[in-house]
Amino acid sequence: LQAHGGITGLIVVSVILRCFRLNDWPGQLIGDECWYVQDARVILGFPLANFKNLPAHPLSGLDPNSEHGPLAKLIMALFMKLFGDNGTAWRAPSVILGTLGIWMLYLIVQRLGAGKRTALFAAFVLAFDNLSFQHGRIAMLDIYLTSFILLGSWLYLAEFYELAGLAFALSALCKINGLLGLGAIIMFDMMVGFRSAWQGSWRATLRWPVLRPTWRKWRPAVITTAFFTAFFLTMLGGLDNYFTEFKGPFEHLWHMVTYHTGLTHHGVSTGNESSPLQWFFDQGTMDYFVWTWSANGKATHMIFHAALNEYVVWAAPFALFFAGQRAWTDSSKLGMFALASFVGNFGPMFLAWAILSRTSYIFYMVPAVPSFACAIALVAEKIPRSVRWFYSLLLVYAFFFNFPFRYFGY
Amino acid sequence: MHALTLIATLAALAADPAPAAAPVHPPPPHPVHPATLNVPGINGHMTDPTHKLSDDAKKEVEDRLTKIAEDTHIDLAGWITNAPDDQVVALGNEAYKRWSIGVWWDNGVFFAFPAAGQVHIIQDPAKPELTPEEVTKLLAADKPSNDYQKRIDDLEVATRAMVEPKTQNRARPWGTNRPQRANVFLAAAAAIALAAIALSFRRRKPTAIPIAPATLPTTPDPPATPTEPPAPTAAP
Repeated sequence: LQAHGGITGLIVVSVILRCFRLNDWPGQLIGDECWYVQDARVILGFPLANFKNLPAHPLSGLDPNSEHGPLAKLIMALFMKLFGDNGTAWRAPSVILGTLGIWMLYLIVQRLGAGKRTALFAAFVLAFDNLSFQHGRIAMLDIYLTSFILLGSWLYLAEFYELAGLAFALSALCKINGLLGLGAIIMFDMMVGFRSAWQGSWRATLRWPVLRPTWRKWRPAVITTAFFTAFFLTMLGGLDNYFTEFKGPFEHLWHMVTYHTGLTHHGVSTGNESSPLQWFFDQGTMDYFVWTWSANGKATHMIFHAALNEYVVWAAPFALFFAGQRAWTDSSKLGMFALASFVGNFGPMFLAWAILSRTSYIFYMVPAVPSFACAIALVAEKIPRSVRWFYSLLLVYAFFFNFPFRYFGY
Repeated sequence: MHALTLIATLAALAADPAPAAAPVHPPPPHPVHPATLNVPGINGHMTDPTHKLSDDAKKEVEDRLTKIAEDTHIDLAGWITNAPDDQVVALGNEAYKRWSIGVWWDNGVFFAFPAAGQVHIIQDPAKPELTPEEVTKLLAADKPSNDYQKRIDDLEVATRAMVEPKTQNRARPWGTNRPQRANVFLAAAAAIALAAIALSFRRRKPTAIPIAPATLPTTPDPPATPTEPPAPTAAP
């Protein structure tokens, strides 16, 4: 316990906070739960208790939400089958996976050569970021995606390349963006290889003998990609034939690609939509759920507000610049990982918005938050302890300020 | 010639302004073209555009019909029309389609109330939930002399009693699309997963996570000692 007391305590606190009012309000659906919980009900043949966002073919027993892989909804359905059609059951997998993600990040940072204190700080930032926290307790797909990416990244760094491929495949089976996690870790490997091959100048480094592809250099990426591809396609084919109308994985993949590239919005963002640039200014936040009730003539409002922790997102750009500098000057693997993870997970979302006018929402930022946590932890290594504590207090203050289940009496 | 005929006709009409008896048309055959039917928008399980139910009664009816749908997966719905009895079947059939009665559930039973007279029971002809005998019993249970709330309550209780036993053990679909084909894919996925586990653990055994020096005492590295030059070998 002495060796692992810090992370144990953090995980216990995280679980308690995530479970606090987990079933509030009974029967009500938060954010996009109105899709995924309803989908799970269709798969299970449960009554569709909510009459908003009714899915197509509700009596088919098949996953109506074919724009995403079926795995996350099947996990929700399994918990609902075991524990009943209630909020605790459909949100419990998110609590488990969200907490697993915190632990994985702790292991990743250590695996990258940083000290335990740095690892704990990164895990703390992830645990107390509001967007990760909120998704770590509601039945949406993004925490499944992020946690399986973190699991895959840790397995890759621990040289379990084949298992890493499987973990990334599980992520992509929940949401196709899991592919980006695989790209990010390969990008990290390329950064490490390039930095170690640096010959003092670009010209010298980019010469053929230095960067020539060798099996030793490429083996991790090739093995992981091969197992990812094979496992993803076969699992998708299996789940599709059980739970969707698709006969094979390529048919479903094509549907997902055409569906997602077709979701575009030109002009100023409206409603809950927001642009990726807004997220760095703490804009584009949205209310996942608002509940109003009256008692004794006094109205009370409960708001489940989706937002990043201000002290995470405001620090993130500077911390990422610092991580880039450390990656270059000190060959910091943590810096490279932060950078690769950010570029790999956020970059394609940004490009899709910038080039294709893809509709975007703030929760697309969830997989990028671990990269912020790594970069901020890297900064925290270099700042005085008093400043580090002050920043931690600010983080906790903003966390409780943005806590999703706060009641406002007017 | 035609002009003379027209003038004569007009003169005859002017001399006798009383309208001729309207020709008697037979009632329109069913089904009437849907575009001609005046079906209002749906308003809950029991659509009542003329407010023949009080607000409290309407709420109570809605709650009970919602509960039946949740318990039995059968959508019980209705429409209190102002239409004459001979038009209600056509209107009810059109409303059944437009309002997607039973589409979100296993099946639907629709009560169409005329302005006067007995209720009409509309079902999906492809898969009627109630047998003709049950429909006859329901019609017998409906007393047009009662107020609408009482009539709806009686019909609801009787229908629930008929539907509930049939639906309790009705098989629900569960992953039944193409299980054999799915199993082939899943067997391949399982083989890949097993290979991944075997290869990962064969190539690399898990190592302990390095313990950070902050929590465990570390021994300082011994100072580097200069290597001594090799002893000169004796000349032969």
